[in-house]
Amino acid sequence: MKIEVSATRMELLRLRKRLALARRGHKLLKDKQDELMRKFLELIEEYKKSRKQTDQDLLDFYKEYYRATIEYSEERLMALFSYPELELDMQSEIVPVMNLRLPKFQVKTNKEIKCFGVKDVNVGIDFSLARMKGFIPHLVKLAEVENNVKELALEIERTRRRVNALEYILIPDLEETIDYISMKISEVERSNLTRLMKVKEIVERH
Amino acid sequence: MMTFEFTNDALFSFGVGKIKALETKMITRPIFDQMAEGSLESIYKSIAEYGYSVNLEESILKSKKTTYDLVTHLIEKKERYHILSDLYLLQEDCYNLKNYLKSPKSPVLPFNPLGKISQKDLQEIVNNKRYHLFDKMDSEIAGYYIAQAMERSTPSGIDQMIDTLFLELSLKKIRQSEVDYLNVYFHDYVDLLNIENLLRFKFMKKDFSYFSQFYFHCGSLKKRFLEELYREKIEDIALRFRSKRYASVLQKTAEAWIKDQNLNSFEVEKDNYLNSLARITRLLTFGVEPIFGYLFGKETEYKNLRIIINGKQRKLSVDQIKEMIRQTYV
Repeated sequence: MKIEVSATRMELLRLRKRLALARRGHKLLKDKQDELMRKFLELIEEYKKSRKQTDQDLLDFYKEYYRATIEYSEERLMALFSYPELELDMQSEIVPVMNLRLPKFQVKTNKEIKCFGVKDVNVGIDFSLARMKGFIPHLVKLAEVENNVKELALEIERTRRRVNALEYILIPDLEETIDYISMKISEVERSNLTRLMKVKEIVERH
Repeated sequence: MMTFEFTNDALFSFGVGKIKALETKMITRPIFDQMAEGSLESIYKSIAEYGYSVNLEESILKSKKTTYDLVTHLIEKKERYHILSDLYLLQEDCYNLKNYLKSPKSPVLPFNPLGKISQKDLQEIVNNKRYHLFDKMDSEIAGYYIAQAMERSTPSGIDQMIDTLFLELSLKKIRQSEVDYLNVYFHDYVDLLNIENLLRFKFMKKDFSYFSQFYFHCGSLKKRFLEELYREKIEDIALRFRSKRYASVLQKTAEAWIKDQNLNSFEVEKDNYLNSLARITRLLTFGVEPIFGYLFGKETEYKNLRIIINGKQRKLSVDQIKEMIRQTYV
């Protein structure tokens, strides 16, 4: 017997109720896990696409930026970028996915990214910054998707642990205990019957 | 015993000779190309022979100071030529002024010690409107542009006003000096700046009114003419300048733009053109021009050193680095 309980009819009924509940819970969790997996795979595709796009954007940006700023000292670059003007208007909302609350961001870039004059400033710097302004929403989207993937993965892991606990531990234990109690009760019933028959036989002999 | 006293002209000619001797110690283009092909270690070894250390910026600052002291000493008794040291210092002062004006909204940047105006005076100029401390002769112009810069709340607006102040004061000083060469150089420089900005904003798809905010009035190109160009294709713009001295700059930029939609070549071609103007001064023996050429040559040398070392640190290819190295003065 896996679960320490007294082998009574009351307990048997209680355990049977628990088993039915566990089976229903297992089915629900299994459905949840399947749905989470489906969403997870969808998000993974989105993440791959978003990551590829952002990596390419970043690569193009750095190539252009490194080339454009090659002739400047660190101090001069500090002076150029010391007073950033670009403002990000970021709005967030919470989207429910199963029992999860996932954040969703919307970014709008207002004002110019330009934070310096034009005399002795390489054209390439402006071009690279314009490119950067263009991919900021992609960058935020990537962060959002990456966070959602992580949250979903954690939830899938938690759900799978619960499903497995139900499937491989609780339900088999309950079934085993129920079987044990049933056998025990049958055994008691049989022994009672035998005892009664024996008593009857003794009574009839006298 | 008889003593000889050199005249100021003789002393100046002797100084120019000294500059010519110093030119032989400048880094040449083949050496820069050789550096670009080598490793970072070999570059540091090579530049050490020319007086630069591993800490490049520190040695550039030292070199700038030495060059400035030398030039100041040479032109000390030639008042007409003080324009060179004035322009040199004005550029550094404007850099400090920009940083100070932006400082309420930006981290405090190190004060450039090469300027004429001290940190305390800079505070006096901005906070107490003591504009004569910026420029005794032209405190009105300085006052106007500094006030305009303070009114502008954007960093690009502040930079634009102080850059305009620098160009206006430079033009005034150049006119006063009556050195024709500097006048030609200055106008070509400002024209190229305006053309660069025109191309910059045109290809960033900004409208002409946006470009107008960054237009420099002290060049020879009129705003109306630039407005006409704003609507034209780059190859047509290049054609409109075919009679100008700097026609090749635009022609090569147009070719590069058609090839790979890139304006990076403009920067290199512009510097090479200005360098070719500076190289003319090597043919002159008397006058302030050779000293100007030497200063220009030193600035190009610093730029090339930064290109090579930054390029190597950023792992750019040898061809990319060589493409960006500017023509040298010697």
